[in-house]
Amino acid sequence: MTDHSLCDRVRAMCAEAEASLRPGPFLTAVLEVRERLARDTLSVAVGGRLNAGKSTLVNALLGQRLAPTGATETTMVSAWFTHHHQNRILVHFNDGRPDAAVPARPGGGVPESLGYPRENISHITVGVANKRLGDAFVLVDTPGRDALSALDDYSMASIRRADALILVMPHPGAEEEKALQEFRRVMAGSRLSAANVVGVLSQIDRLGDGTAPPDEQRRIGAEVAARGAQRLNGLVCEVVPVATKLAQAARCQTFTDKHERALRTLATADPQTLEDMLYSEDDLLNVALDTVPVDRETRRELLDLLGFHGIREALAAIDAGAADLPHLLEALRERSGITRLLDCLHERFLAAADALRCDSAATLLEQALDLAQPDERDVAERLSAQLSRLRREPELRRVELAEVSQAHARGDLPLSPEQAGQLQALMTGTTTARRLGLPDESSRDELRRVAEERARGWRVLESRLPRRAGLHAALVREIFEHLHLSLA
Amino acid sequence: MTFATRHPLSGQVIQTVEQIAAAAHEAGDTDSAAVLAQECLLAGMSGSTVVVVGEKKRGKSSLINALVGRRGLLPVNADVATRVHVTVRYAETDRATVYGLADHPDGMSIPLTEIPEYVDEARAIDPATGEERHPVVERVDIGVSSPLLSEGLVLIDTPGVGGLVAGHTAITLATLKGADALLFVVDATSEFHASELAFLTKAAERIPTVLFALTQIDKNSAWLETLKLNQKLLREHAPRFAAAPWFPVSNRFKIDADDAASVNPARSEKLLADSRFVPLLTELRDNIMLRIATDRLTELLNNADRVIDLLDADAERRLRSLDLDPRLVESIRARQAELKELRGSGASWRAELADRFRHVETTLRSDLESGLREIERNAHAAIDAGGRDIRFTVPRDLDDAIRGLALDLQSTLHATAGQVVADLGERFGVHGVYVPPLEILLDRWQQAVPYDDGEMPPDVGQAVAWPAPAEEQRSGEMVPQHVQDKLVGYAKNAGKVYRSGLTKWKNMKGGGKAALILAVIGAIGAVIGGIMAYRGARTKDELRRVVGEVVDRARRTLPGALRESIVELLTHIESQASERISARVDELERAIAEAEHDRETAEAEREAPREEVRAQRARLATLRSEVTDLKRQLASGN
Repeated sequence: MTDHSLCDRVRAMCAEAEASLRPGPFLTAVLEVRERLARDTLSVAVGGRLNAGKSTLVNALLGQRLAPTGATETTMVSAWFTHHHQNRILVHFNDGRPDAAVPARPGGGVPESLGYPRENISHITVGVANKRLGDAFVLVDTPGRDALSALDDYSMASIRRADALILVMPHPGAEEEKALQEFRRVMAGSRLSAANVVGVLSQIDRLGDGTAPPDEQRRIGAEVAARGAQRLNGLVCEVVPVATKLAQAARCQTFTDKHERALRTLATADPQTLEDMLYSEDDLLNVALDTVPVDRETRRELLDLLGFHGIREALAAIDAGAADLPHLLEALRERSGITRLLDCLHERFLAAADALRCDSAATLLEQALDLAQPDERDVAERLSAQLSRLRREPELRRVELAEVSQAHARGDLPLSPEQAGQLQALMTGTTTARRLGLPDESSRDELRRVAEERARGWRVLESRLPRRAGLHAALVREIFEHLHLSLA
Repeated sequence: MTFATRHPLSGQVIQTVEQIAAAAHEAGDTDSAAVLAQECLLAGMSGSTVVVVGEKKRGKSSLINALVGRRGLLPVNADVATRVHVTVRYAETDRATVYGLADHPDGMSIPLTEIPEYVDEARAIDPATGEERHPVVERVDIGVSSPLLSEGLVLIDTPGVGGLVAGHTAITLATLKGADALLFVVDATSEFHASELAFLTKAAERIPTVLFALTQIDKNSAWLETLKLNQKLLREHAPRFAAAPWFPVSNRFKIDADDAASVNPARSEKLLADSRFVPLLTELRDNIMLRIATDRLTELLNNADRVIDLLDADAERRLRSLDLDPRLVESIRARQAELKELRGSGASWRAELADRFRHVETTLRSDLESGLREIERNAHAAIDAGGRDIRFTVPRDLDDAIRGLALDLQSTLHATAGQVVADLGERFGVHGVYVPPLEILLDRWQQAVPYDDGEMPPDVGQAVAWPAPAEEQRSGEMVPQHVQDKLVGYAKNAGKVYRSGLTKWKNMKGGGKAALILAVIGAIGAVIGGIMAYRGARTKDELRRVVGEVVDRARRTLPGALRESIVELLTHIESQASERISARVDELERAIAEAEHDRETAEAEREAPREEVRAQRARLATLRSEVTDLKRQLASGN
């Protein structure tokens, strides 16, 4: 099972503090933190601009079409998707009213209208009974930014309460860098960085004019994602290209035998006819109705489900040997990029869930210390001391690296490309070896040597920098030193 | 060399006005003849400028490619974003020119294949070094032989706004002031972003005509939903645009249609229909250009009318003289006295003129100061926000913002000048003062009035061959060659001051738009030149210093340049006015002498001249009624 040890410590600290506090802002804040930790799951916000494909991605991750998707912006309130033994929807209000249950859409999912004015709703919780989500994490779908419905502050507030972020961007660029800086300001503890942000290049099927052969389209997607990652280096750990519509189809069980049979029939058509059919929607519905026996309705369904890129991917997968429905779906999941994204989330977020959640909680507690009244001073001091000790835990120190990378991104900490690479590896590596930028099979001696070398390098850098920047370098040095010691 | 415009009446209008210019020339009023001729020529080559604006990745460049029917003209690869202004106009053979490079002040020719290197944001940064390859490119000018552009339509592609850097916005907004229409591009996959609408609102202040294009209808079958939502959002948030026309299109179908035209006409036709491009093409080619042409032709006719008035008044006076009207001399002397008073240094129009310009100077200086303060504030905010690219983006945006500001001030000044001149005529009866419109871009002027080598200093440039519209596209009446030759002949006499203005411009470095008032542009060159030298700034503090220095320099040099422009303009107008008045006084003096002479002439000898003048008046009357008729047709016809 997942490690909770750090969070357990924080919970214990909270419980201890609570016992000695009287009702007041300080106690409320501490209680909030304990409540936040009560759920043993990592909450991951999905943020991004208007119509970036967030909800489609959420559905793909959930494995169920619950979040409303459409041509125009459909998400108007934040929705927390969590595992629950029943499919149900709870509306939480701003004004302290008790939660209200509302019926799901027929077939499951968030209904078009919740029956309450948007301004009164804080957020909704959607209970998801399917096992795909498991207890792993809670996904928070947020309204798109930069919409005329002006929900940016609201989206930000939702994201603030999460531990990690998936930033969805169809076109990574200056806008996203700005957005990340804004997210940074509001996320709990402002610890947004490569440690807890994953970028998704969404809608790769729309890149260029969207008519390239699927592997070409994927290649373009990979290129754009790589450039985006470079641009956002230090702020996101990776940018994963995902054909979001295809991902949704491949994960959500809306794709059936009937669709598979239809695709196999299409796959038997000669290449020219196929090209003609796939030229446009009109053509798909009308060309070769007699020679390629798939009726119009099914063709329409395929298009709605997969889109042209998805259809091309499916045909390519069939050509490559996917012999039955499960294999086809597996291939589509792989090709859509969702498999990679899920792996990434497990590797980066879940593996570090304890540390990430603890970090958010600890930061909230540190902020709460300011609320202590004079008579609560001794409780605050004890808590502060406990938090300092906690902060020295190696796992948490890594999360602190977020500040270092942000300083670098701001231009306050000049680093050579090599040093920037070392920092990135340290922050995002999931094993000791990878944190040192080395392959997993490396020998202990090798790891020790590199750790010492790097520590030395950063010590030199530290001595050359002005005070504030020097502190950042010091943190990095300490972590390398710690690694070196732990390998002794 | 022949020319025609989109407007079906243009041939007739130009022929009529030419006859009026000829009459003026015959009557000895060469100045009026020259100015009318110049305006005729410009009206004859009227084109219009459409600025294409939209967010990154909404399909702007692809739309332009589709409009001109040239796949891949502007780069549209997956990650491309336009980073400079690109102008697309007609040329017989394809060409591209890059402006802004220090060692090529008149622009550097490049093959079309190299365009992406200068235009595309991603390609512009060398991946090996992370440095900008061509940091100083100001704009790229492309010429292609596209039928759409053959009648003078010019399309300007702009760096994507909205998700975008402040500096580019400043220049784009400034460019709008000189343009005829704004084509705002969105796509079918997302409704308006708040940032897009914010830009649109600012843009609308500068340009009355806005069209919307909704691209990628082939990628999203629910495009109509998006379009309707956009219209609804406009009604709620920007009602000014609620009635603007929308053109949903597919760039891909159009380009494929063009490619298929020769091999598979039936499919080509279907694709063209599916692309829905025809309504947009019609709007651009017919409605917009037609309307601009109508406006210009009407303006031309109004000016011609005024000249007829002048000529007729003179003819009438001549007749009175020949009729030995006893009160004639008295009325002439009265008018002379009026004019002498106008000529006097205490004349109220002078004071008014000085006043107006003082006022405009105050306004512009205040605009300049607040503009510079805002630029400085934005630059510092960008530096504070940080980011790894600031050492490129901050100098570049500073550059753009200052240029944008200068263009803005220039436009305002010019508009004021035009107003003042109109007032001079109306309120003080001082006619005949002309300030050439800001739209005289140097190359357009040169196209209209080609000078032989000996007539102009050689470095003012060569005449450019007038592009012949594609045969099928010509719809205006042809203007006979001899008419055009005569017009060119008259126009060459157009005021010495134009010529000296052009020379002055040529002697300064740093291209851009030409105008009569050139000092401000020259000064910008000095300020901007400084920015280029600072691209080496590495730290935030260095950048802050650069910003401070550049803005300081702007503060020190621009007000002076502005004042110089204003003084030049004021002097020009004043001296032209004085000249006109003096010329008038002299004319009247001659008229008095003539009257004296006539009194001594025998009745019989006066009959022939009288007949002549009556005939002249009859001709003028005919011309006047032609003008009136044409104006009426213009007003109602389209």
